[in-house]
Amino acid sequence: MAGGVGSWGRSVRVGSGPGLRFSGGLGVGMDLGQEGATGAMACDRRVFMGAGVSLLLGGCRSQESMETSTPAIVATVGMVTDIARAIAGPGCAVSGLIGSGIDPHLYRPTRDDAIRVLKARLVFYVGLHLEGRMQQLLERSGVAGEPFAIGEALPKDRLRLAEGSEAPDPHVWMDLSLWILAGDAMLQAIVERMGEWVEGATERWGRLREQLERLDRFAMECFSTIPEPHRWLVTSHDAFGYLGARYGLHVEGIQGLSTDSEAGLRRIRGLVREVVERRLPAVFVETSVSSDGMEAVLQGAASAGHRVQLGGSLFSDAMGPEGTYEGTYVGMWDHNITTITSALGGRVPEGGFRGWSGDGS
Amino acid sequence: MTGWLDYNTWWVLFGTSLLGAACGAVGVFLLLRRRALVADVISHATLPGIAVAFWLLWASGRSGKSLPWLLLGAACSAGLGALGLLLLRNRTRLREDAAMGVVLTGWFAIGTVLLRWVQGLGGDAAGLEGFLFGKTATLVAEDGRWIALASLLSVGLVLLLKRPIGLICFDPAFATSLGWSVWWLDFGLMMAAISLIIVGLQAVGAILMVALLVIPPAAARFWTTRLHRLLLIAMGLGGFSGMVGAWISDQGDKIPSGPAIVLTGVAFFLISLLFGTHDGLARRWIRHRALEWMVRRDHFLRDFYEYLESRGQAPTIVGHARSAEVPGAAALQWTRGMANHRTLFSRLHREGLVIGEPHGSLFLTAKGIQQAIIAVRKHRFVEHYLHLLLDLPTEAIDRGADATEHWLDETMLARLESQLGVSTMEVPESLHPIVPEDESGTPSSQPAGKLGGRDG
Amino acid sequence: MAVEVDQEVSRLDPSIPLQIRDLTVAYQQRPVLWEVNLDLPAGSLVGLVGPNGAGKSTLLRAILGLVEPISGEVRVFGKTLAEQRGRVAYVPQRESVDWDFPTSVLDLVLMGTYGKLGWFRRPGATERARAMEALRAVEMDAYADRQIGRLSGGQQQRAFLARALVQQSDLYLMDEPFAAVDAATEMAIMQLLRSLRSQGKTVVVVHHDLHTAPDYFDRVVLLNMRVVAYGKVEQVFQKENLQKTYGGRLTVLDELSEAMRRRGVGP
Repeated sequence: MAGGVGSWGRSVRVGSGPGLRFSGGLGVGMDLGQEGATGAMACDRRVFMGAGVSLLLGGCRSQESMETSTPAIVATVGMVTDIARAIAGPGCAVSGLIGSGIDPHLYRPTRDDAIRVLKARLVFYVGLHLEGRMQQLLERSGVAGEPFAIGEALPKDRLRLAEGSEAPDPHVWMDLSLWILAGDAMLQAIVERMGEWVEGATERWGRLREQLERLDRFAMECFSTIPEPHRWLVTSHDAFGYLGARYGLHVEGIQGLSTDSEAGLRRIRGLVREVVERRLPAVFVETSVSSDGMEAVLQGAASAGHRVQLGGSLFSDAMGPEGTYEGTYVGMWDHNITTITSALGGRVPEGGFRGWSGDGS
Repeated sequence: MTGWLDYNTWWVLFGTSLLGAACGAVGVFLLLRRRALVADVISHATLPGIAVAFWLLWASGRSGKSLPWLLLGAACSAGLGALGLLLLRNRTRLREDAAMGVVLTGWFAIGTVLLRWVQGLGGDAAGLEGFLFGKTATLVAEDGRWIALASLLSVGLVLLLKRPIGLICFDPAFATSLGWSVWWLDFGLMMAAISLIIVGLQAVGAILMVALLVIPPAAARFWTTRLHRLLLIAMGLGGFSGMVGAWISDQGDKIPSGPAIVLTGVAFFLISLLFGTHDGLARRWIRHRALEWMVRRDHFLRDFYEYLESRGQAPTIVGHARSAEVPGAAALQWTRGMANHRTLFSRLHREGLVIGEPHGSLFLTAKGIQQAIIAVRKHRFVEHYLHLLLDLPTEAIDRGADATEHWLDETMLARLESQLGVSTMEVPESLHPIVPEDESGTPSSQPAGKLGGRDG
Repeated sequence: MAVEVDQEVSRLDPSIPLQIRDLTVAYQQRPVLWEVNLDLPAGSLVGLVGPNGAGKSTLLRAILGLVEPISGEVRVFGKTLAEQRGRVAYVPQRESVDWDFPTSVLDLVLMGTYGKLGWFRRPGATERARAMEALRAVEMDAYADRQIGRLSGGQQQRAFLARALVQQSDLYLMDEPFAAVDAATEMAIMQLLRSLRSQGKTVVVVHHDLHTAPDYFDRVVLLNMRVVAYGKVEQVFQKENLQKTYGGRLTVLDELSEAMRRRGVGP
């Protein structure tokens, strides 16, 4: 069967865009997952049954050379990749698997991802079921690279629990103070594992750490200017729990901790009711999640007489496009803070975080 | 916020019930045409079109999520899929199921490739794959308008062409002989299904669409055997499933709307299966039990009659309020093989056929005598008939008569009477010996009494 | 190949109900009908007789355009079938249809009016009256409201015939109408066909039973992938022809000869 539909192992170039490889999927209700796009090629494949066998047997040629002399560190989401890259410095090849705009809850690893993970010296992931569909791959990667679950390295008492369940909220990068602790742990792991390749790591992390602490204060200041009745953050899914807890905002998501669930009518209606009663000025969508749910809330509130605005698109589980300011952890926060604050009626200093802290970094 | 019927609730209810009703109508014809699962094929065949449409929009600088264009793309590739299906079926040896499998997997695979690639191009591709999953709980006015349009078109088409499409479902060869193009009618049906599916797909998802197209029509078949009523009932069940399902999902925070509607539809199906007026299981079971009772009753009454007859006390209809006495012990003997004597006796008592005590004496009431005579006559008529017709030895006849006598109705009975030359209400003699069971001696009326019937 | 054509006629004769010239039909490159040439006159009952797989049903379907011939032509009253649809009625094999379909006997018969009504017009009072009349002709008027799945085989066949009657055609093509029906129905059908003949109609019947063929039909086409013989039944039912048609099935032929002798027909 695999041989029938094009040759499943060959790569196809389409214009100047990323090369694509044939991938297949069957079954109603199959979740397509999303493609991995990083600085390297965007290859994508879905591994299943017979196709998996033929894929492994077929050759996968990629532009990027897998056999490099510099050791590789692999991370999953951009928030982790960014920190790892900053710490490790130029001596290592740091790459991320889950790119900008892509939902890590639903992401399925490709064959390329598997190869990269297996060849890396060190693998960082958030864990706590954030990368829900990469579980198997990450657990097995202990062969070459050591998988390091950042979420599990954090102090348990700092982890927020979702309502009515035992599972902790995995969106730990939404609390700057918590993510700083994560960075500390990452520094240790990198220095231990990568040795002389990462000379100067401690200094680099020191600088970044300071910046993040400033960012934390910036966030505190901005969010505190939001007037009391508007201190409600309504987004597409429950990603901002830590942010809400740290900076004093009430957080509501249409979907729960994971986007892998269908929203219910009652939830929508409940949110509409809240939004209207509070006369909330704005609600927010997210770059990596469908905006349909929020559209329903917007229109529901409008028809009930309250024209709530779409305050903007926030970076929740993914950062901005690679190479842009929003494509960095700091830039992602800067964007989120300024967007939320101004939309909810608070005051944002001129020039955002960069303006406030007086320099460009 | 006005009470219960707010904006969101209204559009969800409107969208799902209208969709449900439209799917009911179109689904009836898909079912009759044995293409029920084509909904699944078409849902998957929309994928390449969606990806291509998104890419074209993005490449031309527009927002990739423009609904009309995405729907157009979906419709085109679904149309190609349906075309491929019809061609495969008509021009090759492949039958429905194989052809559907080929188109479904092939198109979906192509679509998956294209979609992955398109998502990697950047642009606002988040949620594009959600096209197949739908967003039942978050339907808004725009969705409602599309659903209304698609429903109107597709239902209008199939109702307008109700007769021709019905004919090609039933007898395509005859339709061709009338000069009609079966191919175009098939295509029309496909187009109605496609337009409904592509709109429903992004509104409520693939699984729900397949469910709405298959389950209400299947359930409706248990209620009627007329096409126009079938359509009405299927539309009603579909629309109702949508409404009730949406209401159910509103009862709790964590109940997703799509699955709630599917489960409601399944519940209706089960109810129809069990209690449907046409071939529902409950009716069948009731009929079966009634028949069982009739058989047991008649056997008992006949045994009762023959017991008395063998002692020269055969009950007659004229005059007597009740028959002569039969000791309960004897009665027990001939019911020995039967289960539940007590229920038998008590029911006979309840129906006013028998009075007395199972431990003492039993009597037939006037009504009981009447019924007993009918039972005996049936049995003996058949015996005589079989004997005349088939020349069977008298011993074998009893069993044969036992098996067939309960199926005789009025007309057959009258026919038998005239054929055998027996007047109404006269009880013919038994063809086999009836030996009294509890005492020796006193022979009964002996065998082989031939009636004044025809010979040969 | 002994082909008896009763009359020498010119092509495209508008008075001849059915003219077939050089008709060859193949199924996936395998020929199943070779060079069929036939002229069927008005007012006749014609039987298509032959062993299983001889192509009898295929011939009917090719005449109706249900299968595409490789070569050859069919003319109905001098014109193509497409132009004469209203004058041809087809009764398919009973088993080719799904009797579980939700419709009543009356609605089934009304299908015969669809040809003249087209896709969009509804059958009205006139059509219903004609349908009831046809049902009376086949003695099924009492069953008008019954669901077709609850009919016996013979009743189903009668309903099918009623549908054909309603079409008020001049040429009737029937595929095995006598298959698996009870004796009473068989007689009733035969009576019906004879009355059609006396009205000047032509009835072509694919028939499976060699024994009854001489009783039922005036003319017979002996078919075994090609026309072995065609003509009046007395002339065609010769031992030689039958042998060519049925191959080495001598017992059948012997029985048949016996039957024919009893009826005073034959050598």
